[in-house]
Amino acid sequence: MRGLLRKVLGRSRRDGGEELDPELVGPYRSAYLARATDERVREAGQDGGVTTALLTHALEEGLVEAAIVATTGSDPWKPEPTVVTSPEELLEAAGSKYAISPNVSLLEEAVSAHESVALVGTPCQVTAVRKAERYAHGVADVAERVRLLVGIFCSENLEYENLQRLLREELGVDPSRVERMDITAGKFTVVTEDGEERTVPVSRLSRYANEACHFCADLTAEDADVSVGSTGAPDGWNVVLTRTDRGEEILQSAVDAGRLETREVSEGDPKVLERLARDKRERVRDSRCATWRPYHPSGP
Amino acid sequence: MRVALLSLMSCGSCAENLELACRRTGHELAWSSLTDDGEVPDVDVLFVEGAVDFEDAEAQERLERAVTSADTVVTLGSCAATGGFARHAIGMREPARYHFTVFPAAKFAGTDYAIPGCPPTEDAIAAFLRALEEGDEDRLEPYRVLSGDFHGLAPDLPAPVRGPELEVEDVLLTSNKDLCLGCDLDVIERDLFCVGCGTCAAACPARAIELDEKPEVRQERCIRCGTCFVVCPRSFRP
Repeated sequence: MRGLLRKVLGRSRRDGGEELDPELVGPYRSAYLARATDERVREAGQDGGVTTALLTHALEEGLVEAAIVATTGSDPWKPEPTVVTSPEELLEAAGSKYAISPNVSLLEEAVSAHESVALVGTPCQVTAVRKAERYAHGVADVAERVRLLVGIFCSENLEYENLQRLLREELGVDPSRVERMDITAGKFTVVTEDGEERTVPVSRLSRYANEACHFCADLTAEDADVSVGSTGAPDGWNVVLTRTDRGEEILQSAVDAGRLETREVSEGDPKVLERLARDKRERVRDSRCATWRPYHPSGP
Repeated sequence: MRVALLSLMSCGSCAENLELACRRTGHELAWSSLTDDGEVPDVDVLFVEGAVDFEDAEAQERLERAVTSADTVVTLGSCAATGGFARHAIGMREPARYHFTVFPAAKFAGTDYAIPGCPPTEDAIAAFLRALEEGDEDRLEPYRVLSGDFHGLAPDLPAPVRGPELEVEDVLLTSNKDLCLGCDLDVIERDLFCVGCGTCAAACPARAIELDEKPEVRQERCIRCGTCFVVCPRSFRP
């Protein structure tokens, strides 16, 4: 019976050693589970701290002069785009923030001040930078100076006002009292300053999500050099997909330098990642906006 | 390559940058309507800057004749490519886009490529000239997309110019080339396509866009070049 199910559902055993279906997660070079070796980075980061460790490596090795990341501004949990040039600042900015951070808005500023720049962004932001590379009359020097694009897995994002509403209405907690936020195992979890944990199913998030996210097909940042997320990874680890030569090189050099440790992606739960990636692709078909079309070439 | 420039209703900034770019890349600016009289000689590339008033028959004829003398026709700058300042703000009229009589030159003549921007920088023009000289289709693709019907987003668009007026319904999200900067972002924002990435603000040459999660256009600074719309990841994709 299980064999039959497997046949019907397909893909549970794949030939050719491909761990994840590129039809679902986009084309990639290699897939890993990874985490930062530095405990401080893991502590500050959301899951395995891979993004922070990778950027720290890129800064310290001089692969990039600066990185555009989201830090936290004066409002609790409201992200703010910022250009950082030191590992200390990176550590400060580590961890996910569940609201819109217009990181690409600093692109012009960053590439005119620095010879080489990395950017961390959501899938749509990564796509925006790729487009800016091709439509070069908008922001100059993007193709030459943006050396690393790290894309974060993203199911949807929230405007800050709606994040506040979500916290108050669904979780009964004021944003200023939240110590930690996380999405794991289909739940949005917050831990308050008194250590109390409250959760709400991720499916409840969509009513608070930014409207544009409802017709986005890209969960895994398919245009990135390196995509990082926690979906499909065990606790304290990240799934990492390298998608370009440059991305693969930087990841390998971070591993060689002992900043990252990796495991086989099959040691996590790649099926979960594939399922969510498929869900997001299919969600576009149900989009309430009939006039729009999915803009992602590999979308449905 | 032999290059010519036809300057129509415009401020001349694009022409200036074209001259610099030609000098840098070693192409001969064989003729310019700003300094030369008469007809355009046979050239490899004709750049057209500026917009055309629907009521100005002379300018339209001049443009029609000019495009026949070049192998490749390129609209240079937002006024020629998408409307820009000349279409959307000349005479400091209210930017109510649907009753203008001024159209981008691209609407009156067949063009091969477009380089929007206000003005396109010397670097941007030089990069285009290099791609054209090398016949690098991949790098030319975005310029081709911008000169066309915007990536098939306007498959049912009527003839390029039907009269001095366009219906608002016709331009919203169908013929994006007719939308001015502020309106475009407004469409993307209001119709909920905006993801809040901030690319528009980074690309805006006039620094007219303020951003707190979503963009807000300061109309008094907006030069309606359309750059924000072109770079937006949600407007169209090459």
